[in-house]
Amino acid sequence: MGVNAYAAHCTADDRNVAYPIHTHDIVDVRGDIRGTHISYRCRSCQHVFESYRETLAGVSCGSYPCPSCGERAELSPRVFVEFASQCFPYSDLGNLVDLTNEASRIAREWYRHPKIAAVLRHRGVDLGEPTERELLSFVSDGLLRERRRAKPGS
Amino acid sequence: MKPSILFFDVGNPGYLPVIRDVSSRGFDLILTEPRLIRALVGDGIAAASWDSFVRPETHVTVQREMTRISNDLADALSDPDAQTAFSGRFGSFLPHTGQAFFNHAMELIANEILIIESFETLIQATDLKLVVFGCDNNHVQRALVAAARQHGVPTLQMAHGIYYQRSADIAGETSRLYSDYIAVYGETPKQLYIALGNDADRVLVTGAPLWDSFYDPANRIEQDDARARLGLDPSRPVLMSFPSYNEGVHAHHAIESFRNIEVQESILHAVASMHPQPQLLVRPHPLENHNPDLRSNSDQALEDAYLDWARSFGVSDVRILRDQKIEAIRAADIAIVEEESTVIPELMILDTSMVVITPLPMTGPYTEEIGISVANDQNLASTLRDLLENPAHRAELRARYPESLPRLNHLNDGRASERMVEAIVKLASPQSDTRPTRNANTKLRALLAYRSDVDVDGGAAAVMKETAKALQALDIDVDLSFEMRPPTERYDILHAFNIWQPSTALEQLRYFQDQKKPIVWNPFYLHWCESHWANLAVRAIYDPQRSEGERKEYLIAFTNGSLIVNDTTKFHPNEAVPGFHEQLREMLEIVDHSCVTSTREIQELAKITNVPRIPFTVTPHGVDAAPFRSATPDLFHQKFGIENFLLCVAAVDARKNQIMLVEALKGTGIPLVLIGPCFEPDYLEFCTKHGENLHYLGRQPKEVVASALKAARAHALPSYAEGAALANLEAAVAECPMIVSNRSSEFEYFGSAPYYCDPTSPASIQAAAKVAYQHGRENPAELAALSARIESTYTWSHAAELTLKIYRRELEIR
Repeated sequence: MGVNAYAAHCTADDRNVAYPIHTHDIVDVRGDIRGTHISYRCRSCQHVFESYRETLAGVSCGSYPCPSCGERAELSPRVFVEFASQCFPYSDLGNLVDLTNEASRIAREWYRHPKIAAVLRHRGVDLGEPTERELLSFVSDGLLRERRRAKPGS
Repeated sequence: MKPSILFFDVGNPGYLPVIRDVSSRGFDLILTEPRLIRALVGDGIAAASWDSFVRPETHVTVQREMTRISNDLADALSDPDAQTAFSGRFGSFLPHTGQAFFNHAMELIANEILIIESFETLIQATDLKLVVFGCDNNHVQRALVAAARQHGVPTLQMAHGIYYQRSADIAGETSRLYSDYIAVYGETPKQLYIALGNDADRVLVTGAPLWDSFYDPANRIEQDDARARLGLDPSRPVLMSFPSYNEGVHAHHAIESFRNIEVQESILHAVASMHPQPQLLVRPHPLENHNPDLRSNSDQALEDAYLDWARSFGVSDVRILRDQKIEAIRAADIAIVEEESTVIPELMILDTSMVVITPLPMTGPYTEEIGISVANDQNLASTLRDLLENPAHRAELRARYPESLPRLNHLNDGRASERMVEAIVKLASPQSDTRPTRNANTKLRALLAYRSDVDVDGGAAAVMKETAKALQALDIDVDLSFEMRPPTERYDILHAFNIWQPSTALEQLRYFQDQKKPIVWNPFYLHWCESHWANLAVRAIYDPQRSEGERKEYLIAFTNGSLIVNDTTKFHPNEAVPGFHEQLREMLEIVDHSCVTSTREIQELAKITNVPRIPFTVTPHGVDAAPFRSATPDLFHQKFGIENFLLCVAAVDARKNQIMLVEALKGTGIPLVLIGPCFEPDYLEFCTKHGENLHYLGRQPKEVVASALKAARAHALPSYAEGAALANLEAAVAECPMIVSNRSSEFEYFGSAPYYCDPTSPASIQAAAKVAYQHGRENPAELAALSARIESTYTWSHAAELTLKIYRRELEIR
């Protein structure tokens, strides 16, 4: 986490002017069922913050205020693609399909393990099965990160 | 009390006509969406809010349950075996992402419990007949489907699109129906659902109620009028774009996310290259950025950013339209659709030309034959130009729409809402049979299901195979499966086999329960309480490290029942695996009818589970008598040269109790022949090490077993627990004297014919063995009479007839 050193000498008007985000301002991209969340390092105060990636017509746009110093950073679609390509380093759709299939298998199977299944029940309802679709993004994200750790740069 | 219908997560005001009509048909309404409730109340229609059933005390229950679940789950996950559930070809994600995963899973589960508890309150307070969903693919909606199923309340999902198969397998995707029924737009989507393995009876064809207004003549606006209403320049062409959006990013959605941007870039490049430059209308997906809690930008700020970006391509005349959909479509010369979208039939109904932009061949229901043009990123501009310059070609393509529309939107008549109301009323009417029906003239179709985690050549599997053959002889359409979750759509009856292994057996039964078909069950419950203790005891007694003195001491204690092993005693209701009896109780609650091998079996099952009412039928096993009746001792003698021996045909293991037979025969001089597989090598070693004159021959073909039974002086099977051991039946038809245990169903099958023994007492076994060995064959007429009775009574065709009666009864009950 950074230290807020900027707010002391910025003005309200300064904060209304957004600067364009570069890929080196982005720290991480994380996905869940609600959408994409991007972690930025504020160029002014170095504070790292996460924001939901808003889109229009599926295209990343909008600007994001640093919660620490108020500086607004504007995200362009191409910068997002450039950085996200590093996080999802699969140039081939087949590879991503393969990874998604494996993540789907785990999302469907984890709660069926007898020891876990015995716990996840309420009034006769299996509480694991309804979560499949929403937990898939976590599994998929986790597998990707594991793969990146195992093979940096892959 | 009036019957009620719950509309859960039905939020589109376009469904109000359906909901109003349902109310007018005599149903009370419960809804989740405040906007719709307000609209109904404004019309003078009473509508209760789902929130009124979410009581403050429910949150306390949720909290309590979550404490239990998180503690129990933490315990479960400390087991390395449970951790393997999170591993696969790409490694395990537990070390680094596991905490985030479980935090989120706990959030979802808390929501589910809240829904289930609130539903309980609703069920108590109303006469609920049906739950209707706008969508059923999130955890809350799915928990509600399951809770409704527990109460026998049917569920219906109103389709919100035409599903087609994705390139990746997305867990929890709507390709497999979750609610009991789905109301789809037309015959084409119905066939797609069936092709994906769903039961045709669960797919109702209504058409899309939200498209009914498209058929209103007032909405057939002329192009010039539509352009005037939108303030567009009538002299320049109008293109309309229907972009997709990113619901959430996991690996597969990342590709879609990149793709959305590429498509928009292609469209902007194409528009920038055209002269005169067309006016571009963009209609964002209504669900894009729909979560207000996550928003940093206003709609206006996003639109401004998008327009800035479009201008960077040289495209300045862009209008973003969130409303006036019909006007925009009618104003457009051509609509651009991103890949396969439900917008396509909407455009067809409103008679608008379209280009679908996709890098891949169209695989779904939409093809160029039905009148759409297909382009990729490279030729989009030229395709648009060609179409704009050639109105006659556009008209020729649109002329194809009427032919395919009736299958995409049922009957293409704008009356889908009426059909939806009829479907809802029918499903919710008490007199209505909402269950799928079968044609009386078709063959009864049964799936006999086992699993591959057990001995697929063992006794239970043999019973399944023989029952299947005999059912086929009765003209029943039978399939066998060893899959854990086999497809079930084509079957009337699901017939599951074997309690063992309990965890997988229960998992399979839960899956069958979700299929909503009658479940018949052969449990093969063997009352393992004593056997479990004996199994541990034998390992303690015959531990190679044990001194001979200790062994004798332990054996005496074993025989008199005073041996305590690992806190387990002979007379306690020991569980074969922890939680076994609770699992049994759940199994009994799931199945509709149990097929047991003896009255003894059902008595023990009822006793151990404390479940007093179990629909059951005794379906005794059959025996393939001919090879055993006609065999001679010669084959066995030639092959092994052993004579005057006692035979035991069984898998060599602690339950079959060969070791006490070995103990019993010590000092008698009687040779013992063991035939059968062995899955417990240490146990076999105990037998061979302590046995005198012991011959272990492994698994042998049926003709050798038959010959051995003819050659033996007697057959001995002093088991702790048996169903109806096939080996005993075969011994009986082979006219071989029998030594059997006094523990299980032997009395019911064989009456007073065998020599009975106490399996825990070597002395008792020895006494029975000696008599049988010396005198067993002295009265061949008695042996022949028993053989004839067993052969005529216990046949597979008799077992199949009884089983078929059960099938018919269960189908009639439904």
